[in-house]
This record gives sequence, C-alpha cells and structure tokens, in this order.
Amino acid sequence: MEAYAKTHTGKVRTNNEDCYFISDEGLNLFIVADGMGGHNAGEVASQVAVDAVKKFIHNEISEAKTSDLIDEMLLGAIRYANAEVYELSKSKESMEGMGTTLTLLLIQNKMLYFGHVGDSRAYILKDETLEQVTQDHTLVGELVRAGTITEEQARVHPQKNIITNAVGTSLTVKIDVLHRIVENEIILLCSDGLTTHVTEDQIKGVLSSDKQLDTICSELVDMANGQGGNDNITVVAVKCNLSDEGVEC
Amino acid sequence: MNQMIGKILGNRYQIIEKIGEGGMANVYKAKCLLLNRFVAVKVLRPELVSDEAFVSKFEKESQAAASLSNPNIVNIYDVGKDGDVRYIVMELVRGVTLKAYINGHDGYIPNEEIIEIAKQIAQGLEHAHANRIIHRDIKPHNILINEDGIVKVADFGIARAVTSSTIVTTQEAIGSVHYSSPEQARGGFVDEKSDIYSLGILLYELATKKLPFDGDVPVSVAMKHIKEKVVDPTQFNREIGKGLESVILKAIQKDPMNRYQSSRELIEDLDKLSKNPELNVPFYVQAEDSPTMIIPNINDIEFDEKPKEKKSRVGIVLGVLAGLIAAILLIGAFTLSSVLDRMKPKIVEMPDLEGVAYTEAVETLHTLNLNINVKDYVFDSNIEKNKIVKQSQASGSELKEGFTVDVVVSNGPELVKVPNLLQKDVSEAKLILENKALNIGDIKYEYSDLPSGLVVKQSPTAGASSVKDMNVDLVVSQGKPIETVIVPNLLGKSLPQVKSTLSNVSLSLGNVTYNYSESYSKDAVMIQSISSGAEVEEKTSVSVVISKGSENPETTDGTDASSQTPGTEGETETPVSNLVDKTYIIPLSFATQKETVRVEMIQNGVTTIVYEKEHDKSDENVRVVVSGTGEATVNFYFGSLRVKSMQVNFN
Repeated sequence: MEAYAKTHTGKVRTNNEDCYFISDEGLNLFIVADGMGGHNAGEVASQVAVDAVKKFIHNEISEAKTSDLIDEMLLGAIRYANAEVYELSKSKESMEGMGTTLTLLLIQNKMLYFGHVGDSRAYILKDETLEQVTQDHTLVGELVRAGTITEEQARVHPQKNIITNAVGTSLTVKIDVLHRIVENEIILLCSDGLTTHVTEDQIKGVLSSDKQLDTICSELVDMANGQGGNDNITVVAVKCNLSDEGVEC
Repeated sequence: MNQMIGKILGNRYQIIEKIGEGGMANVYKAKCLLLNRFVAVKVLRPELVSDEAFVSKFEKESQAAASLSNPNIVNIYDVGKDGDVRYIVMELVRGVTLKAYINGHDGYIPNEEIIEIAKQIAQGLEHAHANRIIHRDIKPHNILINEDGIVKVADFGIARAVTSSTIVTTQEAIGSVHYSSPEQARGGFVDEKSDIYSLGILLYELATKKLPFDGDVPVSVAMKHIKEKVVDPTQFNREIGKGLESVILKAIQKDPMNRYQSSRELIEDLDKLSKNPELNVPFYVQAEDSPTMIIPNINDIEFDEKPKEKKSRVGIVLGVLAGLIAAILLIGAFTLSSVLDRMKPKIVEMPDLEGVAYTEAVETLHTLNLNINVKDYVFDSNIEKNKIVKQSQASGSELKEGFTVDVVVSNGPELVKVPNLLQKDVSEAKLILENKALNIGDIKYEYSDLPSGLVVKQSPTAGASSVKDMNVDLVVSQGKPIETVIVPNLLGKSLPQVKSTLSNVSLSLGNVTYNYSESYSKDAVMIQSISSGAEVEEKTSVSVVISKGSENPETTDGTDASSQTPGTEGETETPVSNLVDKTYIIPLSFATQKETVRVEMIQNGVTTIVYEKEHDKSDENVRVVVSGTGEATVNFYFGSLRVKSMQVNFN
C-alpha cells in the first residue's frame, strides 16, 4: 500500500483551514478535515479534531478486534473529537461556533473503514469506476437525495456551502461509518475545495492515469486551482495492493 | 467588538453604538464628521475579511447598490475600508424591522396597511430592478419601517456575495429559506420575479401571521417551496379581502411566468385595490352588511317621489285649465274630483312582522300600501340577522294606506373581536376573555419552546369575529419536553473515552479531579459523580475523579511514622472501593472579581489537592466532590485565604 497527500491554500484564501493526516507507525489511518470559524479558529478546529481522532484510535486499536468493534471505535473517536472541539469553542469567545468536517479511512484486517461528518468526500476508484463513498452532509446534498434537484443543479447551487452537520458545533454529532473489503483500488479523500471545481469525470481521469500518487495529487490540486481555487484544497490518495499476505503496507 | 465604539473610520465616521448584529456584519450608529449627520455603518465581520473572494464580491455588490436612490430603499452613501475593517455607510433609519413590526402587532394587520406596505416595497424593488439589481434575499428582517411609516428595503444584492465559505446552517440562512423562491431553492436562474415571489411570501405572512411553507429543517422548507400547494390566506384570516388574496397568490406562483412579470404590474394591481377593493377580483362577494342598508333607502326615495310628481302634475293641469272655457272647466273639475276621490286612503290591518325577514316585510307592507322605515339595527341573540325585532304598530291595529311603519331590524347576535391571547399566561387569558364577554373553552397542553403556562395556540385566532359567550379553545405550553438520558458507566475508562461516551448521549463533562486509587490503574476513572444507570436530564454535567495510580507505599513508609496513628494506618489499607463521596457546595463569596478556589484534603500528613480552579464572582456555586476513607481534614481556600477547615469522617 502506498499513500500520498497534498494540501494547498488555493488562489483566494489567505490561510489554510484544511488539515490532513496520513499513516504513521503502522497505523493505517488517513484523515481529511476542513475547518471553519473566524480568527483562524477553523485551523484550530480541524487540527484539534485530527489530533483527537489519532489519539483515540492509538489508544483503542488494540482492543478493536472485530469489524463491529472497529466501527464502534471510529464512532467513539469522532465523538471524542467532537467533545474536544466543542469544549474548546466554549472556552474562548474568538472560537465560538468553530467546527470542522472530518472524513477518515482506516485500513485494518483487509477491510476499509470510513468515518464521515460534513462535506469532505471519500471516493473509491476500482475497475475504472469512480464511486463517492460518503454522502455530503449539506443542504444541497439532502435536496439531491430527496430527488428535488439534480447533481448538475447541485454543483452550481448558490447555497452549496451550507453544511448540516459538523464536528464540534454542538454537544452531539451525527456520524456515518461504513466498511468494505479491500480490493485493488485507489481511495481518494478530499476537501470540498477540490470538488467545487473539479468534476467526477476529471477526478476519474486523473486517478486512472496509472501515474505515481504524488503526481496524481499534484495534478488534482493544480486542476482545482486552474478552475478557480476559491477554497483550500486537500487531497489524500491511498493505493491498495491485495496480496496473499494481506494488505501490503 | 466593543473596541469599535469611539473609533473613527476613514477619518470620517465616528462609531457611537452598536445597533444590530448579523451573520455577516455588525451595524453601528455613527456620526459622519464631514456632513455632521448620523449614519448607520455596517462593518463586515473580521473572519469574512480574510476571504478575499467574498470581500471583492461584497464590495462589487455594495457599490452597485450604492448607485440606487429611492425613498423605499435604505440608501448607501459610501463603501470603504480602514485597515482591515471593511464597511458600508448607509442611511440611518429610525424605526423597526418589518419582522419586529409583525411580531409586535396584536391581532391581524388590516388590509389597507398590508396593501400600503406592499406598494412601498414594490416601489423600492421597481427602482432596483430598473437598475438591473436583484435583491435575492427579501425577508421581513431586511425591511425597515421608520417613524413616519415609510417602508425601506435594505441589503440589496449582498446575498449574492456569500458563496464559497463553508458555513453551518445558521438561524439566518434558515430565515432566508422561508422566503426564497422555488428557482432559488433549486439553484436555478434568478431574476426580478424571484424578488416578487419573496415579497408575495412576505405579504402572505403579513396577512395571516403565518409562513406558507415551514418545517423543522431548511431542506424541507425548500422542498415545500418547490412542490407544495399553498393554503389560501383567507383560510387563516377571513378578514383578508379577496382582492388582496388574489394579488398574494399571483405573486407566489411556482412558475415565474405565472407571477407578476414586473414590480410595476404588481403596483398597478395594488393601486386598484387601495382605490376600490372590489376591482380586479374574480370571486368577490359583497360584504354581508350592505344590502340591508341599501334596500330601505331606495324604497324611501321611490315612495317620496311618486306623490310629489303627482302633485306637481295636478298643479300644472290646474294652471293650464284656469285659462280655458267653463265647459271644459266643469269637465276638468269632475276629473279632478275623481282623482281626489281615488286618492282617499283606505284602512288596512297591520300584520305581525316580528321574526319575519326584512325583505319579506317590505313586500308584505308594499302590497298593503304601507311604507316601512328602519328605525334601528340592534344585536339580538334570539332573532336572526336581518329579521324584524320590533314594529311600531301592534299587529291587528288599523292603519291608513300610505302610513309609514317603523321597524327595528336584528343584526344577529353581538359580535366581538377575539383578542390575542398568544404568549399570555392562562389566568391572564381568562381575564381578557371575561372582559370581552367570551369564555375559555377546552385547554390542551403541549410541549413548546415557550415557558410552561403560556398560551401557544388559540381557536378562533386573534382578530376573528365571534359571537358573545363563545368558547375560545386554548393550547397551553407545558414547557420543553425534558429529554432524559441514562448515565453510562465511566469507571475504568480513560478521559478520551469518557468524553466520547458522554458526547454520544448528550451529557457534558464536569470537573475532572485526580486522586490515588488502589483498585483503578493510573488514568482510569475511579469515581463518577452520577452513577451509571441513573436517569438525568440532557446536558447534565458528570464529574469524574481519575486515578493517579497507587499511592506510593515507599513514600508513606519513608515519612515519619509519628504522623500516623495506628488506627488511621488501618484505614489507609481499607480497599479503595469503599471510598465515600462527600459533596460540598461552595458559594463564591470572595471580595475580588476573580479568585482561585482550592480544596485540599489532608490525610495522614499527605495533602491532596481535590479542586483548584479560577472562578469569576458571578459564576454559579462550585460543587466539589471529595472522596476518601476514614477521617481527613478538608480545607477550603479562596486564593491564599483559608475560608474554612473541616474534619470529615468518610465512614
């Protein structure tokens, strides 16, 4: 397995409120978080959330033996992140109301585990098909799922920046978790700075180009900047090669 | 943001006080030092200033809006920046927002007033649309009414500036979604007809005090705008004229092509309505009271004029005859006498008209050659509206033909306006109803965000006409539903696990303190302030004591044995699971504004700090749980001052 990440402030913003994490010390964990809030609180929120998730999973991973327990652990980790960000936001006026999206991938025992809150996304490219694994927790996303508007209308909707669920903005948080078996695939985690500008067809084109992951990440970020770069852009690409030994890391 | 007060922006605008707060900006009253006048200054929130795309759009839109000048628009004087501060200088409007106006209005707003407000908003929009500026966010919060009743629309085009920043659904966004058109909800093409739609929704709210499309979450409201059929406003408020209703319904057609195509078209209809409410009204039904008023008048005129005409004709005939020969005069005299003879009144018998419909009574008397005069209209709970209550001549009495009978006609039972009882206390509501000769009807209780005991709904609604002694049914708030949760087990868990577990069930973490434990390993929770399984209200705080691990036996051994009595030594060996909690409530009675509150427990010569935190004088009383075994001294400090020392027996 190999992984690569890239983040960019974009062409319009002055600061980068996105935060990411990729695998270290044998823990196959990948996170993208897109923070929000004034006075740089967005940067704080995404960083605190990522650190909390890491800490929680580090502590608990040895106990999580079954896929149900791992799902439970991911819920626990994101709830912990929620509590930490929320607590901090209440402690300082300048941080009032801050929060973050959070999309994570954990690879464990030949399984992919996803945890998700907000409008960052996880995609899987497999057999030349690109699938969005996560559902956007946005007003517009809900309209699309309800069949009220089309995907195409959603992409240019003026209120597409309104998210309905975030880590740290209230005492509790709604979390999606799901898992599936590892096959030979590329997984992409990204903040909405990518998907605002770059279409799924374009993403699919880049991911299936057989290039190195670092090239893929750079090309995606360049595309988003080339098509506006209105927001911070973060991409994390992970390539899984299934061997007899299990997942190669 | 209080550092803004007193500041001078752009060497020209001196900030005086904050007058409003919004998601994008704060609004201050300021003095323009150049023109020596008061203005309103809208200062963009600092966190938005770092978003350059937003700022440039905001500036572009504000400058476009600054080109507008109309009495029904809050005029923009200047757009500027001073260091990091971005601001717009606007006309200072002394008045209230339309939202506050609606909320503050007891009962329904009269038709004429709604028409007047609508016309003024439409005039503001017409001016903007002529300059190719679409408002995009017409809602009562954006419309002001000044002290002279002039309506002014604010924040033109600014809605367009918000795009790329990620925001969580705010109260403000939810406010807008109630008024945004189907094409806005769909993210489609927006033009002046979208503003007309939003204005239509606003008029609907003015007329009925209800939003036509409402829901718990923005998405359901947006979907209703797109799909759901609207309930006719008159279903809620019968006082709305049919004309006004058709104007509202036309403005909020889902298909923009079916709406008014311009503000001018709308203004023309509103003009017609204010001159004559019956115009432009397909299904208009005449008000119930008028026919009974008109009929007697017409009859009176007829009865009065006919005899007059006869008399004058006779006069002319006589005048002409006077100049003619005698023979003809004789014939003429004969003719005259026969006329006079025919005019001699007959005697008729007065019929009984009590309880007879007025129109029927007119006919009955007509056939008897009697006249009728309505002397009075009275309320009568026994006799139906428009029927005769009294007649001046008793039935059976003999009257000469042509006699005028006075009658009193019933207006039906007396009607009273149902008063507004919403948000009033039940007992107060009862008093108000008694004063209006109405009764309190069924009372139901429901959960509501209003404090318990206040009226949430009433039927009939305020402003409706009702018969005296009628019942008004009430729905009364029983407060918010108290959501309870079961406290989870926290013992043995780490702090991250505790936070995660509590977040899952909507409980918050209270104080975290540390103590030695023989049975819980280091960093594990040894005590939770509310035991697991207990049912508590949501958002309750649960405090925990976390183990510092075993109290190092070497240290205790190393200290002088004289500090320990044999008895206490025995107690220190008692298993920690026998720990007993003592809860102390500490009132913050210190003299300074802030002070550190510290609680320490001294046992066997070992001092444990149980609690140490800085508090503001205005904080709530501090609750401290001290747990231990055997006997100990507990000392309470405010800063360095010991305020209390107690001997505590934990057994």
